[in-house]
Amino acid sequence: MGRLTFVAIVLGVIFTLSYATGAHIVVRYLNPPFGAWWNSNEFAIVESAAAALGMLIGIRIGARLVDGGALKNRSMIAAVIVSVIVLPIVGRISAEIARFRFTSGASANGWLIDRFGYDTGMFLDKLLSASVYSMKIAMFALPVGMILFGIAIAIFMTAEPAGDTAAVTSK
Amino acid sequence: MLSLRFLVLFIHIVAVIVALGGSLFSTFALTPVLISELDPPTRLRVSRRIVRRLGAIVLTSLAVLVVTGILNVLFIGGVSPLLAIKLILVVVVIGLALYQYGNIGTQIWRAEGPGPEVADLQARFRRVGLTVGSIVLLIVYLSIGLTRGPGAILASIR
Repeated sequence: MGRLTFVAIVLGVIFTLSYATGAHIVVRYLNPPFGAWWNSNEFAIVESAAAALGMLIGIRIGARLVDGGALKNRSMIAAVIVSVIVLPIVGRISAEIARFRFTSGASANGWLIDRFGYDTGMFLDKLLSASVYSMKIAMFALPVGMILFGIAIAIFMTAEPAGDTAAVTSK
Repeated sequence: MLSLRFLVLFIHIVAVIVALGGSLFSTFALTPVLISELDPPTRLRVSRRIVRRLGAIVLTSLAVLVVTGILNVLFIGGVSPLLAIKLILVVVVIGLALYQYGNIGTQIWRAEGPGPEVADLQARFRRVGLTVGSIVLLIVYLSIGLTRGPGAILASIR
């Protein structure tokens, strides 16, 4: 789980920075076909990495709230597998919701240009927009991860024998 | 009347009724009757089965709530500050429900026999259940504010 979360964070940071800075130019210079692929897919990877990170954090929060043991481990594995399967759908829907406006956004843009000048301000504004977009996607994917873990707990919970009533229950 | 939006809203409301109704019935009707009518070993046995069944029902209802809630946000086409508060409360409710059924509930059904520890766990289970119910009621109140109040979501976005 830790490694998966780390991979999602690294991918998210690299591709968010790449999208904001236009780093595909460097990749294109080194390897044109790979650079073209990078450019056409970097935004989708930003969205997918953010959604994956949100769901993984949700699963980890859910796991922390549950009593340890085999039930928790099985539920985590099941939730991660289902997360991978539903990642394209969750990523797309979370991205759709993340595009809804919360504020006008103009205040940050104006402040950054005032503070750092036009070129740097515009660059920082694009970086800020991409980062906020990623964080919003992750925030909307977080409850999905938590509830996937919850469903896994519910399924495995009903299958597990209980205390001294295991025999009675199985009868 | 027979649009996808209405169907999703209907399922969303039914899920709230099932989650909230199940918790309130268990806390205010079933548990007092179990305490007064059954001896401790039988009560523990029955409680274990109820915890597991209710856990599956409540957690599944919350899953339906999250899915239909996300679809509702898509249909509305905007996120207001009130909706953001509601979403945060939903995350808190899911966390508390997981703690209630996955942690306290697990300890209850793994308990070897009745005793003061189990009684304490059952009391804590009821307290967390009541907290979950109260927050869900608050979420319902916020939902009414989103659609009917002065800061209704359509007015604040468009």
